[in-house]
Amino acid sequence: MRIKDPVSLGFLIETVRGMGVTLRHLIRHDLATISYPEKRRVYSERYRGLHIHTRKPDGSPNCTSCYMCQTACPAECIEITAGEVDDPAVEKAPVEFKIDMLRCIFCGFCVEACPCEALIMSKRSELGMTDVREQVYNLERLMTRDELGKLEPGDVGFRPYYDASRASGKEILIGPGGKEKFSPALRKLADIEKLKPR
Amino acid sequence: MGDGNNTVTLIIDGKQVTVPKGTSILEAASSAGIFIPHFCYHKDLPWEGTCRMCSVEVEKAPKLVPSCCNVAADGMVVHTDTEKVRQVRRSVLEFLLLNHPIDCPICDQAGECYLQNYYQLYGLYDSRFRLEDKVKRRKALSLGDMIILDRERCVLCTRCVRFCREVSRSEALGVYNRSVRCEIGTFRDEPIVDPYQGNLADVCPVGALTSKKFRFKRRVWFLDRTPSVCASCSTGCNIYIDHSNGVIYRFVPRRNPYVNRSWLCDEGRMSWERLQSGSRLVDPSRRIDHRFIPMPWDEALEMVAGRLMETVRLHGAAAVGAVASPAATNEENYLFKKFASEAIGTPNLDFRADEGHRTFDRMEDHLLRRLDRNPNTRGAMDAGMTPSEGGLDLDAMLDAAARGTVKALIILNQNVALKKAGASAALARTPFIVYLGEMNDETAAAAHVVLPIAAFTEKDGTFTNFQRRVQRIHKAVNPPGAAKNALDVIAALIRKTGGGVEKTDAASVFEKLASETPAFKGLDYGATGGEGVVLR
Repeated sequence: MRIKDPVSLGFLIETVRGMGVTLRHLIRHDLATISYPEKRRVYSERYRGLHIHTRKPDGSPNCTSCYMCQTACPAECIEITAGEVDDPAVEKAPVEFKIDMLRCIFCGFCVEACPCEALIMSKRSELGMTDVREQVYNLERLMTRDELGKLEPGDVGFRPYYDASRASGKEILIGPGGKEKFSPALRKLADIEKLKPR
Repeated sequence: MGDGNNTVTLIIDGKQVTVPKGTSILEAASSAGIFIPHFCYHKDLPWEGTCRMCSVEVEKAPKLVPSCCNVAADGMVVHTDTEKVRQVRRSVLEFLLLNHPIDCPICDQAGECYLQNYYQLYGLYDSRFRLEDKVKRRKALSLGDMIILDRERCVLCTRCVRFCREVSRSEALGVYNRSVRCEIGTFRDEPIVDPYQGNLADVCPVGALTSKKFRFKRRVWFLDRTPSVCASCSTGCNIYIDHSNGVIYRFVPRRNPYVNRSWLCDEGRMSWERLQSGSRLVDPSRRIDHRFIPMPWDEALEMVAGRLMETVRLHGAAAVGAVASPAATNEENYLFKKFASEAIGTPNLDFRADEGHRTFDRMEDHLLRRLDRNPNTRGAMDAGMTPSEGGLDLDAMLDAAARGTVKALIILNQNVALKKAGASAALARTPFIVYLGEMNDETAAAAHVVLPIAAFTEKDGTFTNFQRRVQRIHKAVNPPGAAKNALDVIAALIRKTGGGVEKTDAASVFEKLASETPAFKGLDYGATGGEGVVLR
């Protein structure tokens, strides 16, 4: 085949050059794409993924139901139901705490608003499901879903008030650094109060 | 200078203010629109002057003076916002917050707390006090049915003590101990027995006294506020309905110096519970034996209109009895009367199922509550809800129903079966009863057709209280289920029985009422808001 038309000849040259680029990339190793999900990137320490509800050392939720997160939430996806606790040092605790992940925009305002570090965020961003209802996470699931047991300190995402100097592996899911929130004197007072008839 | 001897003129922040003699500096300032921060001062309580937050600078006075308990004098020059005054406010706040637990996250007062608000204006300092040194006190102490006391949060303003001493006169609360051990309490922590104790949570400027019924139910900043009037007795106390997402969370008193000042009784305060209790009527339905079968509105109205017209055709209009209600609004009663006397044409009309028309201005106690438990007895009297020439009153109607001469009764939102002795037997013998009601009560059980209507929190309108003060109510939430505004239901019945009504919104109906009923002559619907209008 003879090529008379110089324009067509230009196309042919460019095709060969393009093939050259393809072949060169075939043997390169520093590519921008990765084989997700087998390979994953290292996320930022402040990655805002699925929420984690931290717990007190005794396993109860860290939340005091102050509704700051619900107030701050621009997507109105948090719904708290407050209840009363007999312990006068606690008084108020959530009966239910729901986050609708389909409405959530993962802005992290709730985490910043929380005075107890009860809400923090993980680096998990895959929220696939087979039922829409699964996307409303309740207190139980936010506190104790399976993957939380396997979390390493580096797996926790956005957590602006975390004091790294007090950190140890065990404290990932336990509230403000496991700090004793009330003085021993108040604990003692609370114990006495419990004995008195209401 | 003031004219004559009755007023004084002084200068506050450069503004010339003239007030009656004997007015405090704080009140004089507030009448000029200048707000002076305070804790212990309350408009409807005697002054005490304990908190010192309201200190202001008066020229030629040697030191700052508390403005709540110093009387404004002629020629006084007052400064409320100088550096010196601000410094005092900061210091007062610092002392008050010294032992304050700062547990705002779990405090129900957060959002309407004087400490929080003033801290935003004058505080914003770091505490110089160590957390561990704070004095610990008893928290969450139950004081009676309505009130929880938290002594750590108390600022000892003694508003509550003065309320119990001067207003409710229960003398329940007092200040015990001295100095840093000073605390509010009842004798031996016994519960408060006081039908007005709910007000203690309102008068408390901080979170020391909070409401047990509202405890942890909702943060106050989520609540919407609708002005209304309490429907629990003929006093007609002004209230705010605090609600959110169609659910009522509390009633709080709305100040009206001519009716309830700043107070509200516990019965009225909790009267919303009944309206969200699940014993409301929600579907139009007809009774077959003892079961109620829900039906669509159109069908129900058609059936009622058909049965009533048939009764009129067979037995005459006098065989129909109409029972109006002292719990319905003026507009509803007016339209109901139109329905009874014009569309049906019956002279049998009455609203007096209880003693309300005799006792509406008789007090039950020294403060607010009245014996008449209906909100609108005066209104029903003024709107002429009594039998016309030759008509039967309620007793005669029930007698006639028992004898069989009255064949159909239409009852507007009034539990006749419970209120009238022997009414149940008469109702059981009446061939056809229509009940336009809110609650699933004894009368609903006796009715043949039940038409659910909106309660006073769910509609607009006016009530006339014992003083003949016409006061507005506003719609706060939607009625439950398929329940409808009574005005719409009555208007639909009028239309289906051959009469005519143009507009059914409360304002238009009130306009008609004001133009046709002598007692309401010339009254403007818009003027009935706020403090209401007294009929002459």
